[in-house]
Amino acid sequence: MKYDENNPLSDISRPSEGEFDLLVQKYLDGTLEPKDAARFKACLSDPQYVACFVEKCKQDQLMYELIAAGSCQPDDTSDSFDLSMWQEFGKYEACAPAVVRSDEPVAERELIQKVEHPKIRRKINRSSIISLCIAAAAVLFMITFVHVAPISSNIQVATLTDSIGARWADRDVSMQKGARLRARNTSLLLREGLAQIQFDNNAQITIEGPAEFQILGEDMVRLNYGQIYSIVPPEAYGFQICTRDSKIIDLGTEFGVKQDLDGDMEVHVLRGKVVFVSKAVGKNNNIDMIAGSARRLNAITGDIGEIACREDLFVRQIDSASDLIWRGQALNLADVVGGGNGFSGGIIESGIDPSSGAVYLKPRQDYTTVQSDTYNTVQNRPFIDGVFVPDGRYGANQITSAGHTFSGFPSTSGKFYSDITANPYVIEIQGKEADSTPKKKVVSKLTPVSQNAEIMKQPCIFIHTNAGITFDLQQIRQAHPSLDITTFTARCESPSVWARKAEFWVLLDGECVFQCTADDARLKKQVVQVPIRPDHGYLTLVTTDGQDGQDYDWCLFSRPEIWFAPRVHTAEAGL
Amino acid sequence: MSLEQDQIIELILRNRIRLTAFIRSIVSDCHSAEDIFQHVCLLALQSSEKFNDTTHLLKWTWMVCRTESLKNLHTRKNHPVIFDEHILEMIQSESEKTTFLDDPEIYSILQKCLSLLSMPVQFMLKKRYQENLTGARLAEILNRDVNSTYVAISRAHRALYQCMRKRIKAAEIS
Repeated sequence: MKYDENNPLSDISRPSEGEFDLLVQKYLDGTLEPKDAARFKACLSDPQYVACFVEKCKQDQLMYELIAAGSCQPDDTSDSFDLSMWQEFGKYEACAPAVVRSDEPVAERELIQKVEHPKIRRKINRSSIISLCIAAAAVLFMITFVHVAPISSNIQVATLTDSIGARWADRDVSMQKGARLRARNTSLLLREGLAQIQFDNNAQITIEGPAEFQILGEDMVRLNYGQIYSIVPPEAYGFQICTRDSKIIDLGTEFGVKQDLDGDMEVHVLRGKVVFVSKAVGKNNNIDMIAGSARRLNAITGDIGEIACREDLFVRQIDSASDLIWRGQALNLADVVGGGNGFSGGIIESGIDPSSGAVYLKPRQDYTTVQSDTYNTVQNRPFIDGVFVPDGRYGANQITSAGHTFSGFPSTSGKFYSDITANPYVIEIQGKEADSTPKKKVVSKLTPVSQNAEIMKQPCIFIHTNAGITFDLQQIRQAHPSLDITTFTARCESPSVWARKAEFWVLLDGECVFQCTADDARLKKQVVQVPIRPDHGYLTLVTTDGQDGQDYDWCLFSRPEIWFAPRVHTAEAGL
Repeated sequence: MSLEQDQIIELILRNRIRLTAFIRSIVSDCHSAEDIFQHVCLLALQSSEKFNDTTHLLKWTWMVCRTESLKNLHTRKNHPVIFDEHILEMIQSESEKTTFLDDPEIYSILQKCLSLLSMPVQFMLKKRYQENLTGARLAEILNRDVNSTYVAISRAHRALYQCMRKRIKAAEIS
């Protein structure tokens, strides 16, 4: 901001020029109150204020250098160049109180006593001098070694395994994927983006920019500011993250560290244990932390307080090939049914016909006569292998495209009512059968399967009996090569107000791993939690009609989620 | 091709006010800014062989000023304002621009303009900058209200700014 009459900062909704001046002066003094600090920062989101601020800093620096250096002497030349300035200050001086300088003489200090010490001549023998020299040389060598010798001999200790949108400050250091990184005396500044580094002992850290960190050695990182999430396998036990006032020592775990610029920091332990050591403000703290716990260090007081552990605070895994930025979230199979990638993009209104595998933008319902005894693959849904209509009357049913079969389904009507969909609504048809008045129109409307808002707002797969859907786990693994599938979880719900029976089934590679029966009296919801091994290829979800027909069997797999664990490279697997 | 140490010193000193002001904009304290600037000079001399040309050196210097300033903030507990990356980017890009305050004659012009101020105002500014007094301390010494002291400093700054600009403009025209 220049001091113009047409000053753009004169808008009354923004601080006046004078007010901003005041904020800058206080900022440069270091006396800005927190309230003013917030206002000052808010001003600086506007480039005009930034320009003004920079110019003021420059002027202040000029004045500091000129006046503090003592080269400023009043000039006696009567220069009338800037009359307005004189007028302005004339006005100011007219109402300003006089400045009184203290001219009190400083009292002279009185010499009380002069003490003379007798000179003592000490004898020093030669061996003492030699010992002293050797000791001094040793100390000098140690100091020199500590300061001059590079940390860990400047050896390569880690590899940059991946990055997404990373912008590094130091362009001299190659930070391409696969770059070998050395323990160094200087910090690395990741201005933005994400980077993943794997140490040679297989500890892995994911850094979220902006962050400044330093690789101190083969099992140690210093975080100056920013966020780091570390995954430490057993062979890297003892891996450490150091911050300004603290140290977090791993005891075989996964944990995240968030270091703020103001010195405050947080530690969140997601698995295993860590020891959190802090000496901030001279207060020594040594805390054992377990999975699910988190602590916050207040840098001003040195106090450590307990906070809620946030599982989604840190980016835990990245994969530039699939653009995966994983914060621990599960893959949502309802989104997959809607055509999404499991994290977003699914259209919940779409549906899959279990008798053909056809995908429709709006789910079709009121199938009453269609039957199918074939396994039908689904196009354009890469994570879905196929769909089918289960019926035990004819023996084993094929449930995967690889040929897995299951012979445990009961006899069903062989019919189904609805497409498989992520949209838990049924079409209610009025005036179709009961109303015989010819003038009354047939009206269809979508009715939620439950009046419970909690049920309706969570993601689900609506599998009206009799239908089944199989997910291709191998395809999911291929899409996320840096993650391992660990578990499938869901909640079986039968919110129908009609007392109807239905069965829920979960199968892995044709083997039943979960089954429950729903009827109005016995089941409203049941939790499914199924571990998935690396060799499992297909996950199948099925509902059958409880042998009382498929009508009103509104079966939901609520929150159907596949959970991951980050894949850490082992020594054998290499990078 | 690397730069000679003389070239490095000459270039950094030529941009000293801009660089130091930039550092101050981050750390606010003028003594810290001086220390950081000196440290950056030292680092530049130690890294002399890696600079291809003066543009490279200048880019490097801005970057190191920024990182060293941020590092300095880590060692301080009560810094009232810490800028985020976006604001820092804007401050840096604005600081890199040259304005009339970078004119080589600016010291003599500033001195001239200072001499035009009334003696009490000159006294106030001298106290502030020579003894590095905060507005509150200055108010105490001058037996005035803190706010009115800050207002007086701001007015003096504004008047000096106008004065310097007019003189630089006049010099350009002549």
